[in-house]
Amino acid sequence: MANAVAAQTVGSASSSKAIARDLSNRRKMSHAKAGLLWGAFGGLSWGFAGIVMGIAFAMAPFTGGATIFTGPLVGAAMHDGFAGIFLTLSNIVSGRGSEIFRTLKTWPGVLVCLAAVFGGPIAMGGYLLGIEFAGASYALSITAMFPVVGTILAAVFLKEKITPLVWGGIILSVVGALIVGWTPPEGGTMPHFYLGIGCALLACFGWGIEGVLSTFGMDMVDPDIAISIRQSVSCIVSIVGVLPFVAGWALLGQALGTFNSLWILACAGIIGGISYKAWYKSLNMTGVGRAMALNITYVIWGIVFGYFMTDLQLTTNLVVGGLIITVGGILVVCNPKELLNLRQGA
Amino acid sequence: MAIKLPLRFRLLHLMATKTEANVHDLMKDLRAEYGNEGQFSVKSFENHLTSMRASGLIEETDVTLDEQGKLLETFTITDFGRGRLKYLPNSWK
Repeated sequence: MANAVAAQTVGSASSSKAIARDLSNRRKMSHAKAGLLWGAFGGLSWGFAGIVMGIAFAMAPFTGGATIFTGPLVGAAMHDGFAGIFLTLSNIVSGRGSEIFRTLKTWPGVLVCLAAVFGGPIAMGGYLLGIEFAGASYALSITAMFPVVGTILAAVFLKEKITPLVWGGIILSVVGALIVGWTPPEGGTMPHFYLGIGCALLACFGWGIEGVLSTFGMDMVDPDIAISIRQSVSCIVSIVGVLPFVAGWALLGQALGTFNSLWILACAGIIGGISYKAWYKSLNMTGVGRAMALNITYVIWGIVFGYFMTDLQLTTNLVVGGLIITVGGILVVCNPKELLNLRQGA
Repeated sequence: MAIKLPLRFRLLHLMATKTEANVHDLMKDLRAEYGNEGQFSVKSFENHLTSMRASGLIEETDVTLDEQGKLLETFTITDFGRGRLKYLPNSWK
């Protein structure tokens, strides 16, 4: 009798252990899948934010300005500012406002600030200057490679595990983005062509470095806090360190006083803020390689939203490139079990 | 006086002072520092721990069910996680 009770107790304990193990595995898998969903949502919402930003940029005063990139630079700074305000307010409402200041006093917080400078003013400035000096076809092709740069840096500095399947997905996503963005090289002379190529490379590395630095920081900092800092710092550094060189303050003043475009840009900032938050969460939850490959699916969503909301015409390039990006995205998400441990040796 | 750390960084620091700990152990130890904040919840702590585990900063040593039949995971810090402690402010080293 005593033996039977003991056996029942042992059996119950081992079944309880098995249930606990099962629940733990489910929690890990659910975390991995949530990271992939955040990544996919980040791509979708960035595609939408891009269309809304495009509508604002086509309006006064963004069509004016001292140089052809004054409007986009002012618009990008304002977008990041609206996103930063929205994300900071949402952190305050959720009881995490003081985490922002605590984070800024630590080394991981400094890394997030550096990520903001690389991904904000440096990459955006490089991108626009690359288009101006080397032409859109070369600049867009080079900057579309940022997931490859980010993934290599993540493998080296974060010891991130990148399987052949994920590499395949990343490469296909980049190839798809190249096909979508491809336009025949412009004719005519470009006296600063190599400077333009350098600027485009700077943008490509800027976005790649941003992903790695912020992911490193988010090992020790909540992603919701990190993205709030990222957007706010990007806005401030752009206004103080970039706009004076392109006579941007005057246009910024005009833009702040033009309600018609201001409210559209504010909406774009909120949508973009949510999108960046999704991207940063996915960087933390699925790793740099997968998050970047999923982020670049914004190209597909830009085509979809553009088709329904603007007068975008579907071309062979758009359809073929979009399909290739889709296949790349599927390769990245098809085996979430690989995501249970993101780093080598973990 | 040491500055107040962001919660995730503080959790990593606390894990380094313990052989192992579960979410309730950690909340008990941090109640005095973070107890009056909106982020002080089991859900928020579990989110941090799950994320830190996926990133390889901590690893689980045991899984059980508590009295209510809910999952209770016990973690310990990894060497990789200890490596991140060098980024602590001097006042915490």
